[in-house]
Amino acid sequence: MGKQKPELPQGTLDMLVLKALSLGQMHGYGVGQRIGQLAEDMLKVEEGTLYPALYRIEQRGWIKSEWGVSENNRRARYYKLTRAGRKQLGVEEAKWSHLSMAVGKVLRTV
Amino acid sequence: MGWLEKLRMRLRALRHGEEVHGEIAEEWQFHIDLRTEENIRRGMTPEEARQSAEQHFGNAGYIKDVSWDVRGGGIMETLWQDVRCGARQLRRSPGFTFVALLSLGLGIGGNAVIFSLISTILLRPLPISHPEQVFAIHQGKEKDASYSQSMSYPNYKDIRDRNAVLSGMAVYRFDPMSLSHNGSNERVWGYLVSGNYFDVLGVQAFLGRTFTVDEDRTPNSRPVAVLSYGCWQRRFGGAPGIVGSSIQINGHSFTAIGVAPPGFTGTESVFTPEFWVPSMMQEWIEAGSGLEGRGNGQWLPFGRLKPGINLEQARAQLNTVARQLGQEYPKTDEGMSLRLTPPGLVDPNLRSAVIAFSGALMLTVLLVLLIACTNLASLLLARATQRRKEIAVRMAIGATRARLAWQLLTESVMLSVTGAAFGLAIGQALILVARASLPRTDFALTLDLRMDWRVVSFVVALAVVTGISFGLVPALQASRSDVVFALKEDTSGGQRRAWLRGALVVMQVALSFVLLITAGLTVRSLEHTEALGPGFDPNNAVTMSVDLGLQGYDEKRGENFYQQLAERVRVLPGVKSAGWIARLPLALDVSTTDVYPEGQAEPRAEEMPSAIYESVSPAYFATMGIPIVAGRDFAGSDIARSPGVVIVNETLAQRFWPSQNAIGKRLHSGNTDVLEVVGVVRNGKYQSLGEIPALMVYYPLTQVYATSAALVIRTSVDPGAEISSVRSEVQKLDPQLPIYDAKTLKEHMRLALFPLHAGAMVAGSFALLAMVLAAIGIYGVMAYSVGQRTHEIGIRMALGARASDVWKMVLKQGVIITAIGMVFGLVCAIGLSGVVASMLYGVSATDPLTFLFITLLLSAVALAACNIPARRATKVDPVIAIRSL
Repeated sequence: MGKQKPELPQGTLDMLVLKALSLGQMHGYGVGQRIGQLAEDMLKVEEGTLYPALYRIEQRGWIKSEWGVSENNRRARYYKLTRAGRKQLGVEEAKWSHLSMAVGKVLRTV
Repeated sequence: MGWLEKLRMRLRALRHGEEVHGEIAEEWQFHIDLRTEENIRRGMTPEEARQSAEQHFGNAGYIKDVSWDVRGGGIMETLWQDVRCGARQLRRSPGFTFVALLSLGLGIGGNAVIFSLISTILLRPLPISHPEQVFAIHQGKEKDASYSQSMSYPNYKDIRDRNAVLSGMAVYRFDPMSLSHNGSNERVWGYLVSGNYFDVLGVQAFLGRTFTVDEDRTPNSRPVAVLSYGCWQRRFGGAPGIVGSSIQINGHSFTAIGVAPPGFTGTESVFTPEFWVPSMMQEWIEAGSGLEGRGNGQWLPFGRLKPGINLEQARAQLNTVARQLGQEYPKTDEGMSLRLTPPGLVDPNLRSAVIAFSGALMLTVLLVLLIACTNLASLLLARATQRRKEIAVRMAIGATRARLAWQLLTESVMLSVTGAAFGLAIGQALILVARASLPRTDFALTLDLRMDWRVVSFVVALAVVTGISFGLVPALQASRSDVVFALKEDTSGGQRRAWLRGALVVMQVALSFVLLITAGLTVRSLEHTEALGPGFDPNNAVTMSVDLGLQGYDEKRGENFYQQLAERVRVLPGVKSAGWIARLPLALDVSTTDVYPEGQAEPRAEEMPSAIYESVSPAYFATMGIPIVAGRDFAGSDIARSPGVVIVNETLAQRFWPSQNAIGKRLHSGNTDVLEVVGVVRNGKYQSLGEIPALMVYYPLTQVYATSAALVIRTSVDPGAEISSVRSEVQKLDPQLPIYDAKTLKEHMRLALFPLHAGAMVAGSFALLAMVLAAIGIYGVMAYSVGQRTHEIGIRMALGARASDVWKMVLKQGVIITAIGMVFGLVCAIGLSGVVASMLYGVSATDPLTFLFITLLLSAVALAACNIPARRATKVDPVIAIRSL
């Protein structure tokens, strides 16, 4: 492995998953890929940990899942954002930009 | 997802676990496959590609656990896993499981029995509607504190009609009655009740109807009766035609108007009447009327609070009525004060005695349970230490501490709940034994011990609480294991646990010492009492009773009957002698009278000597084997017209005429004339075996008549066989006369001995149980310690220690633990001696012999328990022990 990649702060994975799914329904592998692409490979996400996050988010009612057929003709489980999920994404985004702005400000001042 | 949907998901995961696991696995496989393809595209070999894909996926086992927590059965699944795992663990160590279950089962069984006693007497409400509204009314004087559930009929009517807080108030009274059925008579117990009795209780007839208020207005006008369900079943075969038919009570015809519902046995928790009769029929039931006379407090009142009235309001208002009555009838009612208590036990003193007694029993069995649980905790601690490696491995592969503690806790709760099931079975068996060993009494006394829902819930709660509280410390201890040290087989973590186990055993030894001392003192007390004896010879004698008053005998006819029957019985083959007494000694109660010697001024009320009195026939003393130490027996010539005579016991003779001959002296007794002492008899026990010597006065039955009496017959051989021949003599004299309470004198003694026997048996068995449990505890600790010290012992032996040195070393450790425990126990036992002393007779609560014996006994048992592991220690092979280091 090359240079150090920062690990995800606690709780942000859910937001990233929601963001990835806001682009359209996708299976678990695709969600991981999308996060990787969006972050331009700057973040380290252990791929396996995606799944507990997906199951947890599904339980909260923010995403829904169903079996579908993948590009390469295999059975795959597809996840898609629900209306509640879309709303939650908005909330999380607002919270996050607020937080990162505040933290950035502190770091720049001192 | 709604909660319903979530639950459905979890249940699906539980039921179709394989399927859900399959889905997850498929999803992940898909992921890894795609990643592998991607890796190959980037130029890896297929092998590298797959490896890299799996590496990137992360710790699959951990992820699976977390996923399963979210998607799978969750906590339900975890619990189920733990239960299965626990069951496997317990099956794997049957010795441990057996000892733990046995300890718990015995401890919890004892608790179940004692609690069922408390539930029966104190907790189980009467089977009436809204029992919480019904209260017994106790009457007393404002000044002194003695209250009793008693009231005169006129006061009852006034308080019933004038109060504004009771929706109903009724009275009852229990009485013996003679029931004629199928040509034979039997003396049974029933209730006289006011007409509203059933209405106030809210009890509906099972068959027919209960009384109307009109049926209880005019004396001797409406001979009707309501049968108890038990009476109807037992005596009338449950015949539906009973309603409207006629039954014979005391030779009078009563119409059976109804049957009470099953389970309703009146207003007392330990008394079972056969039937109920309106209070206005009292004259037909017993001699004399209790319906008149404001000072004649022979009725037992109770009332039902109106809705919305609380106890305090009711008490205040009833006392306002009582004060009014006090002003109107100062002679009888001045200072009258009323109290309300829960119904079920007539006497408030009895109630507090029962509470104190059952409290003491409950404390004892809880102590035993504590000892049992100490064993459980100790065993769990030892196991936790043994399982350190297993636990460390599980922690190393990612189990959290909470998860491990939870699993260990599940195991101990499983143990305690299974133990509780055993306990319930043991308790049920003990209840059957207890029921069979209750003595028969003439009184319709029942103790309906049952495993009701209260007992079961108590036991289950006890099991869960003990399982958690005694499993928690070991569970937390075990899960605190340091992974690295544990895997390296380090022993320092065990130090604190060993100390904890030692402390637990010290507590066990101390507790069982206290229980053993208590039991030892009780047994000594019993021995002492039995050695002193009742003052008569209970062997080879039978007794049976008749109630002539119920059959309408007058005094002359009665005296004739007593004399004739005694004469007829005396000539029966096998009969040595026979005599009458109004009431046998050591029955439940006695009558007392004021006495003082002639020639003295009448003592003031508080200094007046009080003597127990009975009426007896000639030959009573010879029959009972009570020696006449001076003077003569009563004779046929002591009749109503002749001068009044008495026979007294030695205690009375010595108290009134110390160092003088009592014969020919005279004494004042009650309201009778001055009576001449014609005989002195040896002292005996009259009320209870534990009583201090009492003053006793015997009157001739021919001068102080009794309407009911017991005939005592001394036989040369098997006394039981004599009962039927005496019965037929009674039949010849009066075919209608019921005989009751026929039994041998030895059986009669069982009643008097019952409290002592029961006390000794209960205390003894619980103490032995405690001792066995403590022995198990000592053995467990020592065996474990030897196991831990195998290396050390091996080294010592390699360096030249002999087997006897090793044996001594191990034994010393056990002796120290036991000795510390016994010292604690000794201190507690001496501290408790004040409490214990009140239950003992003829033995000091610090009886040195008992203390010495118990100390030796417990030491011997403890040594025996230590000896087994100590012997095992000497068998350690130094080579093997050191090699395994």
